[in-house]
Amino acid sequence: MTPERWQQVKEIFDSALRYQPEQRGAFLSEACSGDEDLRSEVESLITSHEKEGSFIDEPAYYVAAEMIANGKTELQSGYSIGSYEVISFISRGGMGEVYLAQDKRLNRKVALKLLPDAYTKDNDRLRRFEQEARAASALNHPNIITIYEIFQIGSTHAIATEFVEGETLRQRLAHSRLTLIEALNIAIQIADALAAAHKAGIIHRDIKPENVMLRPDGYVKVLDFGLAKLSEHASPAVSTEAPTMEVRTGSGFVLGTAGYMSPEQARGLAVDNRSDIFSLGAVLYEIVARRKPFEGETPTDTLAAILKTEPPPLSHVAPDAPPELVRIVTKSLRKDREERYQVVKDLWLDLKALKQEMEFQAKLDRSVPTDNGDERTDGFGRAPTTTRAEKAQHSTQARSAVHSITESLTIEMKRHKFGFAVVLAAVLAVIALAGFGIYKYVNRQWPVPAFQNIKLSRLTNSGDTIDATISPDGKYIVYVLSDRTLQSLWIRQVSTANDKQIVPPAPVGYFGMTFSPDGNDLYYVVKANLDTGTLYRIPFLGGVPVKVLEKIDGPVSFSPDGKRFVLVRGNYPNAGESALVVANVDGTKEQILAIRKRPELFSPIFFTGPSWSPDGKLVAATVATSAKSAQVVLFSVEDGKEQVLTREPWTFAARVHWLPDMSGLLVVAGEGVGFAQHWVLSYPGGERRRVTNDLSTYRAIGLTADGRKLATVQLDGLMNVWVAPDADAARAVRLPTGNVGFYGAAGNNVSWTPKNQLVFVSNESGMADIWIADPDGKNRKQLSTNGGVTPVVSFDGRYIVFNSARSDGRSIWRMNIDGSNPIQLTKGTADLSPAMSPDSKWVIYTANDGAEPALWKVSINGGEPVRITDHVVTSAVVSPDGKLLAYTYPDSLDPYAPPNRITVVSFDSNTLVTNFEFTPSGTVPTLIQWSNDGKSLLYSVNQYSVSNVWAQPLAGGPPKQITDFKDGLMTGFAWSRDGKQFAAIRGSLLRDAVLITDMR
Amino acid sequence: MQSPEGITQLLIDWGKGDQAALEKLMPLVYSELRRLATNYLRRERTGHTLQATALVNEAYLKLVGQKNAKWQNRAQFFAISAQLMRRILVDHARRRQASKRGGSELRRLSITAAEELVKDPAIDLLALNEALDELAKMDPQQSRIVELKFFGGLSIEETAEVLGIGHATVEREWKSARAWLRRQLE
Repeated sequence: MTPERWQQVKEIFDSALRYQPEQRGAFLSEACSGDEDLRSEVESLITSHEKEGSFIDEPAYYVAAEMIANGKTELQSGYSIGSYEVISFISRGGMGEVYLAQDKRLNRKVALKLLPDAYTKDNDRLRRFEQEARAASALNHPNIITIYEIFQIGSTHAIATEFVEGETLRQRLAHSRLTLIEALNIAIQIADALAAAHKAGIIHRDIKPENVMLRPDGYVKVLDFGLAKLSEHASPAVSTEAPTMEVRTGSGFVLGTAGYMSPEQARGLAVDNRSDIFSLGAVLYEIVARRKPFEGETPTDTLAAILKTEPPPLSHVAPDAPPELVRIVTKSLRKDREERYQVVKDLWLDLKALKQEMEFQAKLDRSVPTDNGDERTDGFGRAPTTTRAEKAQHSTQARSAVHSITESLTIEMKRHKFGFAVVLAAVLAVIALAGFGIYKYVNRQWPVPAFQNIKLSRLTNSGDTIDATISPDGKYIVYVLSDRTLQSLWIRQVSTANDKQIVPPAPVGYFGMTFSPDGNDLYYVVKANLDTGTLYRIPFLGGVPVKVLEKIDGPVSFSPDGKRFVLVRGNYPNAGESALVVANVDGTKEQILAIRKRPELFSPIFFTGPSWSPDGKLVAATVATSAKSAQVVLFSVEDGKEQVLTREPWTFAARVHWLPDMSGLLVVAGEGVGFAQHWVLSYPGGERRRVTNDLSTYRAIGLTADGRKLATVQLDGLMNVWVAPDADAARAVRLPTGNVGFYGAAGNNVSWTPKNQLVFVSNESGMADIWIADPDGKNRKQLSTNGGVTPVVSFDGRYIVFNSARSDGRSIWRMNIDGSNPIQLTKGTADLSPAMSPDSKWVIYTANDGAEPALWKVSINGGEPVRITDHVVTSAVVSPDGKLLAYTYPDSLDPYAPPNRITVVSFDSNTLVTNFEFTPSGTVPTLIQWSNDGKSLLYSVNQYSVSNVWAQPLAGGPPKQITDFKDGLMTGFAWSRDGKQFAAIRGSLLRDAVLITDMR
Repeated sequence: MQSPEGITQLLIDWGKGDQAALEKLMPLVYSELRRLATNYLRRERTGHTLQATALVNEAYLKLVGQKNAKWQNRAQFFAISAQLMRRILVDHARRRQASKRGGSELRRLSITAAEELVKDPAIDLLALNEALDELAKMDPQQSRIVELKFFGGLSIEETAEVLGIGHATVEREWKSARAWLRRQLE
């Protein structure tokens, strides 16, 4: 029926219903005026309408909701599909549902996969898939799953395959950590399966952890050969050999995994064997790194990452991965397939060789007594006679000796089969001797220092874990999840990766989680606002929180007997003071151990805290001695006597934690909060040594009782350059530049040239450096090579002024617009945030070192700097007419407080023009810029992790929002000189719990 | 998980006709509904019935956030939920049909929610689904009304609100749509 006809029918139907049944005949005769078809249509509808029964009046929804809740959309046990009877549901994925079923004809168990209808409508595609799947199965390879039958029942297509007992690699990854040998074992078997398939001309196209089954006996089975063919669209313009993977699934229930596609696949180009090599590389990367090489919020973002972004270096995310493995994975993941392994067999050979070498080394290691406890108690106390390097060299020599001997003996064995037993005994003897040699060297060593050899593993990867600690026995991790304004407290059993919420989400901040020494209770601080916190205690496996103490600003640390703890209070006992306070664990008998007056203070910020020494005699705490200098100070518990332990201060130091043997302390510290890493500060020597040294930032310290496992939080950022015409968020485009990292992106990292080119920071080359590009990302060129951030292009377009740590400390540099002739302009150790005057003569910057951090200016040609302010300034900008200077600063005594005021002064005379207050932002500092007309000050405002630019009219009045971004933090922004383009550094901050294991 | 702003954006995109946005929304809505429904059923196993609209509303607020909740988006959200329900039920019916066709003497059909899918056993969901597609060609609005009311569990009033039309219109359209569908299914 046509829509027009239907309109006519239903109008008459509606009208007819308004008449009494006995009057309808007359009405219809008139209304249909002789159109008998129309009349009978309406009459039949009326008959239908008047039938008994509810028809669809009762919604189907209730049952559907129940089905959803119970997960009962699957077939139940006992259902029959063809000659198969369903035993149980196994899984649901993008390519359909899988059941364990019984084949009643052959009386064997099978895995039955029911394909989604969306993929089986195209007969051509279906036939190609069948062909390929059968061909792969026919290879009879031990690592390729055997297909029994592909068939159709009604409109449903199904595949019956060999049933493999075990779990998928995806499931295994979710609950346990694979050793490197296990990882290699799996990769080798996948490679073996692919090699056989490729030889037969079959490409898998969808290698991913979901498609790899692990049998309990160690066998690996690769599933779903050819299945990817079903989800390809044939593009009409290109041949059918150039398929595009459909990222979403037909049913829409499960998002497909785009993370393992090769770049050519993501582009929709024709794929060959090398595409599978890439996918296998991605899988191996994930097993080893415990994170996917390419990730994005949406499949489209993931595809973009595959095409454009290099994964985080494996050596960085998996520090224990041997260099050879890193090389293999990197080679497999080359974006240009010409640079990858060309045949999977070569990859297979490399993996196999690496595995053999590692197994051999493991065997050797097992033959070497490694119990350090014995070493320490053997009591000889001899001075070390060999260095670590020497020891390592000896071990390697011993190993290669054994290696070559064994090899030659193996050859011998093959020649003289009869002498097998004798030869075997000889091999064992050689290994034992070599082991003895190493044993001797090992025993002559001092114990390896704490956290010298570490392994870093990721505990969470949601990006919103803001604090974490570990139980004294190392079995549990407690962490805080932050969901915008709400935070909740969680506990995880490390061995099972089971997570349980212990304190539900609330609009408060959780800080300073500490286990009681017996491990039974968890103490934590709740802050409903920034001012002060309340200490609570909760039985850590669940229970009711009990309030212990008020007015507390960080974590507590327990005395060794567990009866008392020490804590820090800010603004106590008087305003402007901070105090180290000792109290009984029930909160009674408070006693002040030490007081600091401004400008010194006990860092009462969220992730810092004191530490009570294992012998009970000392309390260690970080003291900020000036705004940007911090030391670790030891206080005697008995009489409060103090001693500075650090030989040289850090710019920033936060939490400290004694090592159980009192050989030193773990300290979170660095050249600024954005560079905070883990260190070991020796006791009593006060020497510092790095534990971590990477591009991330760390904050918490939770240490097990044996001092071997350290839970902490790692911060990383995903920040990119965006360009939006007319500052229209809807039209914003992300440029294909490298991720700048979160703290790497601190400060304004974008600037425009007079010719409307964009100067920005990117770490594309492996380090944060300054680049130039057209606003569409084209003509991209690296300008600085030894590190450079916060570039500012001079108004005349000649120079770029920037900040660099290439000499000692961070100072201000200048280079020509083409990157040539870099010149150091200042000599400070923390000179930051450069800006320029419109006459291109002056560089304004903030000096954050020394006792008096302030705003300074220096000539573009260098020379003596001139001081502008006598107080802390966060960032400053000069107005377009050169007459005014605007800067942000914190209106607080706390040196770590974020800026909350903008002051405008005359640039020449420094006289006050006006002053505005704004809401400080906790996550990223507020940045200011002048509007091009010089009439407003533009600044970034962050609300719930979304930043936008607001304009404050200089003449006064309320500020106005000018950009309308719906997500992302903004750490820098700039308008092009012609006012048409808006550039910003935008992205997100990722915070995750990691575990650092001391590998001594 | 998608941010509330992200979800709002997807709803807006979908409202503008972007089908890809719908595909991204579906799994989010599904998992949220599933989570909520499980909670409800656990708590209210006996006595209470599951209030479909309450459930969808809660899922909506949870996913989109009170702050971002706009009427227009909420309406789209209900529409998506209804579509989702339709898919689940129809897919299930299809599977069930497949399994019955291949039946044998060994079949032991367990009684599950699936068996009570629709209170009126005479309704063939697959046929209804096809008829509804037919109806959509003649009168898209009527098809949506049926989807919202039957699959989405909305009342006449709620349906009217979601579609932004009057109650009387919904009631009138529902009558003729229902009569037509019923006739088609016979």
